[in-house]
Amino acid sequence: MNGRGFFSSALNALVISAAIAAALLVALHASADEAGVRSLEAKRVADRAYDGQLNHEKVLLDSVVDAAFQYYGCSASPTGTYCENAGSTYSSYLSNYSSFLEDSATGFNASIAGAYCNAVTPSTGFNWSYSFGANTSFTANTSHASKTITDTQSFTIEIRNYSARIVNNTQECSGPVLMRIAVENSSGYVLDYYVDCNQTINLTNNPCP
Amino acid sequence: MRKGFFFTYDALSALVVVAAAASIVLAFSNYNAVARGYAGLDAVGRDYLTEKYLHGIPVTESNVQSLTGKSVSETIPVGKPVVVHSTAFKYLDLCNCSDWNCSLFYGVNTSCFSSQDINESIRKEAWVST
Repeated sequence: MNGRGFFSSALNALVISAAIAAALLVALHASADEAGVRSLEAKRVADRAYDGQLNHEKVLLDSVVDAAFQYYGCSASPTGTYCENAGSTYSSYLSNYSSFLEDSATGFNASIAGAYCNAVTPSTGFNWSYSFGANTSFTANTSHASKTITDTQSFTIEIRNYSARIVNNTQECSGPVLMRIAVENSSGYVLDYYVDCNQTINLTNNPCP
Repeated sequence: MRKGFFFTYDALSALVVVAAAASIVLAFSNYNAVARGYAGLDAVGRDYLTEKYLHGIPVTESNVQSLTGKSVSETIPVGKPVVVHSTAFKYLDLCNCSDWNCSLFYGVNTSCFSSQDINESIRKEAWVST
C-alpha cells in the first residue's frame, strides 16, 4: 500500500463511518423523540383519567341536588319520581362533563357501570330520603395509550321541602318556606344547602308535613 | 508500507470503529433522558396547575422558574422551540358555594339548580418550555 492509497482508504473509512454515525444519530434522535411523545401520551391519559375520577363526586352532587330542587324545590306537592329524575340528570351531566374533559389530543369517556336509587325512611327530620349510588368508569385514550379508572360513590340525599311555622299557637303551613337539601356519605354531611323560597305557597289540600 | 502502529490503515480503521461505537453508546445513554423530557415538562405544568387551582396554593410562574428552571405560562408562549401543553380540571363550586354548608334565596341565586355547574373554566391550562 503506498502513501496515496493509504490516505484514500483512510478518508473513505472516515467518511463512511461519519455518514453511518450521523444516520444513526438522526435515527436515534427521531426514535427518542417518538419515545418522548409516547411517554407524554401515557402520562396524559393517566392524568386525564385521574382528573375524571377526581371530580366524579361533584358531578354526582350536582346531579342529585339539581334533581331534588327541580322535583321538590319551593313546591308544595312534588310530582313524578325523584329517582328517575336523579338518574337521568346524572347520566346527562356525566355525558356533558365528559365532553369538557375531551380535546383533540386526548379522548375521554365516562360510562356508568351500575347505579341505584332507592327511597329510604327519613330518620333525621327530613321529609324525604333516598340512597343513591353509582359505579362509573373514566377512560382516557390517545392513539397509543389508554387508561381507565373506576370510581364508586354512594350518598344519602335528604330533602325537607317546607317547614311549618307557628302562628298564634297554631301550626300553619304557609308563608316563607325554607327548603333544605342535604347529602351525606359514610363520613358525614358533604353538602347541606338551605333555600329560602321567599314565597307563599298555596297549601290548600296539602297537609303540613 | 508500514510507518508504525498508530498510522497503519488497520489502526485508523479500528479507531474509527471505536469512535463510532462510543458515539452510539453516548447517544443511547442520553436516549431515556430525551424520551422523558416531554413528560417531565408536562409534570411541571400539572404540578403548577394542581397547586394553584386544586389546592389553592398561591404559586406563581416565577416561583416555578426559580424552583425548576422551566418556564411556565398560562398563555401560549411565542418563539420557544419546545413547548409542552399541560392541563388539569377543577369542577366549579356548586351554586358558587365554597363551603359545604350554604344558604340560597329563591329567584336570586337558585338558577344553579336548573343546569349543570360546569363551563370551559374547569379546564386549567399551562404551557411549559425549557
